[in-house]
Amino acid sequence: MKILIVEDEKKISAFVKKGLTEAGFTVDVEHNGDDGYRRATHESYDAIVLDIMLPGRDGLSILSSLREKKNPVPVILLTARSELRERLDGLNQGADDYLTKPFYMEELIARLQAITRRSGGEGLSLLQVEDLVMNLLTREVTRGATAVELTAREFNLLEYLLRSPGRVLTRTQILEHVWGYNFDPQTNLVDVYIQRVRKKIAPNGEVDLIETLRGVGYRCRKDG
Amino acid sequence: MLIRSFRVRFLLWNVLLTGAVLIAFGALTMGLSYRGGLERLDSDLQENARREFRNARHANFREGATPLWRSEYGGGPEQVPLALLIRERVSTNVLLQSEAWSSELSASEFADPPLSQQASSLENREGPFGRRPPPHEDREGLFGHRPPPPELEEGGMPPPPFGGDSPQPGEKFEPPPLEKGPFISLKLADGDWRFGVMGQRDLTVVIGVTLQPLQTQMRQLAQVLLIAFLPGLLLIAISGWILTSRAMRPVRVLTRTAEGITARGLDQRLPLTREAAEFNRLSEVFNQMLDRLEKSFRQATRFSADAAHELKTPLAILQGQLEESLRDSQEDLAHQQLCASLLEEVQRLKGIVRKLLLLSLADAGELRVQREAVDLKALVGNAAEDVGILAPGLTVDVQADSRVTVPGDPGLLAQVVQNLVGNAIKYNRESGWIRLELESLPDWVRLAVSNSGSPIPADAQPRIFERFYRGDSSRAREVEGAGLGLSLSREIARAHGGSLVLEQSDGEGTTFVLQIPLVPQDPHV
Repeated sequence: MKILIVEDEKKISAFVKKGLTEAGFTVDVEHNGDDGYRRATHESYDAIVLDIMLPGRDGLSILSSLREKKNPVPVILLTARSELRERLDGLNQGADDYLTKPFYMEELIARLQAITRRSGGEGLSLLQVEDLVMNLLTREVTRGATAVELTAREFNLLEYLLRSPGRVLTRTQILEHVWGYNFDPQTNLVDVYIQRVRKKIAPNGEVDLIETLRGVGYRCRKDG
Repeated sequence: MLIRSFRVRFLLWNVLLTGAVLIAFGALTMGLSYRGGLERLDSDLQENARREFRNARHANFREGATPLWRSEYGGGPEQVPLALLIRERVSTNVLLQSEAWSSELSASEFADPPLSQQASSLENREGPFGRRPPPHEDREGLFGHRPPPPELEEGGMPPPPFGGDSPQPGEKFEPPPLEKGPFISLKLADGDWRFGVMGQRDLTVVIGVTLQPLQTQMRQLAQVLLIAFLPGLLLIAISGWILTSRAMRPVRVLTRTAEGITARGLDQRLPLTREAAEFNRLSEVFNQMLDRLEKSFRQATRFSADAAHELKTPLAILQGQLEESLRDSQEDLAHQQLCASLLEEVQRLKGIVRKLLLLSLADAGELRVQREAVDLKALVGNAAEDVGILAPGLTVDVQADSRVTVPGDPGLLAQVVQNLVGNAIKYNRESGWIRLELESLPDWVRLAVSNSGSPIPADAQPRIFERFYRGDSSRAREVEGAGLGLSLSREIARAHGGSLVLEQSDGEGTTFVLQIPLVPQDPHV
């Protein structure tokens, strides 16, 4: 999976590149709009992460030029300033998703997986850890042969964990992903929901797939 | 009583002052014409006295005759009787007392007038009037000197001022001078009288006439003045009202314009008028003040927007690198705990920065909503579910219509619902209740969030939507939050064309009501 990052802030592009590489993506980075546009038109990418405020061409102008050339590459916009209007403009000009700075890497990875799945097809719509299988299209979850009934929030929570097996997710990360923009973090919500999901995905006393890291967060057990 | 209207006050002063001036004018008129009347009367009395002296010194002095008033005074053919008393100067022997002489009066009340300088000098200068006997001469002789004037015998006509004593043709004769005593007004049983005391050589005359006709005249004058006074005052009041309303018109225009200038419309200015140049200075000063206000307001708004934006990049780096560090330290739990704790603080900072940014956008009038169908019922359901987890001791009651969607921004509306429900949890009593009522009205969706907390004090109620307001400090310390939530929620409601109000807060509970229009509307300030 090949991703282009166009972001002028070098520290941000550095941790984004590192995070995406660790998550199994192949990553190219450009630091200004002109170079970014040239690269985006000359090479083929599975997705582009585009900052809006850039030296040279700005992100929105790169996006609209790509769309004029009928280039359907999925684009995630990174916005910083007046998020509402930029989001509106970005979505109008054909962005597939947007993230407001500051964003969590795990969130960016989840979004990238979601939009590449959208363009990638059926095979990517299944998440599996050991005998727990989650179908993102039909929203069905099974543990072994037993079907598991989850509420929408529980489903989102489990999906988020299953997307990054073996990686630590803090409670604030989970809260922001599952509950949306949360202005006043209520992290004990996460604890309660994790307990519920834990119970539901181990209906017959199977192995606990969700590991608690005290004072940190939660981690999904990795296969093998 | 305090009168608050400038116009009414102006009018009252106007009427009061004009009325005072009119009254003073009327009083002056009355006083002057009364005095004029008295003076005329006095000089008439003098003339009558002269005549009576003449009569007394001539043969037609008859005891008991009724002397009549000879003057224009009284205005008509009816003549009024004179009170007349003639006495000798030295012996005070009363020679004549008319019928009209009231019994209340005693002759001694009226002192003899002093002998005038002229009279005494005339006495000494006998030369030119050699034929005239001295005053102490025999009275009969005196009387015998002069024949009665012919007009008097014809009767009716008053004597011309000095004609009565006019000398015979070819004769150099001057009438004997009158010594004038004081003129006084007396109150008698039948009304006011005017008396004069006059002397002529050896005789003293006390002559009086009723003041009634003069007083009647004065009453008539007063009536005329009064009749003119009231309509005049009314006329002045009306014209004053019209004048003030004309004068106040530019002020009204200024007021209307100034009313339209709010924090969101600071670019408006007052118009300069051509017909009221005096007010242009006021408009100019006002406009200059608005210029400064607009400038500093824009600076403040831009500052908070810029500050929020500038904070985002370092926050993004901080968060990204902490996250990276957390991932890298797979088995070092202490380090992971540190990173998680720092990430939590970054999250809190992010929340504040985001709120400030949204508030500064709202202040600049740029909090524009990208609308999509938002399932409010789901938002409320989720919030109620969260309450069960966050505060298991509370009873949650949800009443919602079957399907309630509004056009709005899902993230922002979720923030409002979370904020209201969060407050309902925070400011509640133990094992209290929370009630969420969601109903779909024809034009609006109404969400009422009630709880059983202690009532918000009446003086704090208007302030709870202010930024960084945290209620009473003792309560604030127990509760998390920066005090921006309600303020932002109200701005979000307004950006949707809706409203957020505190509906009630008393012993029965505290209720906030959010209303969002079903048809997208422009935000109203």
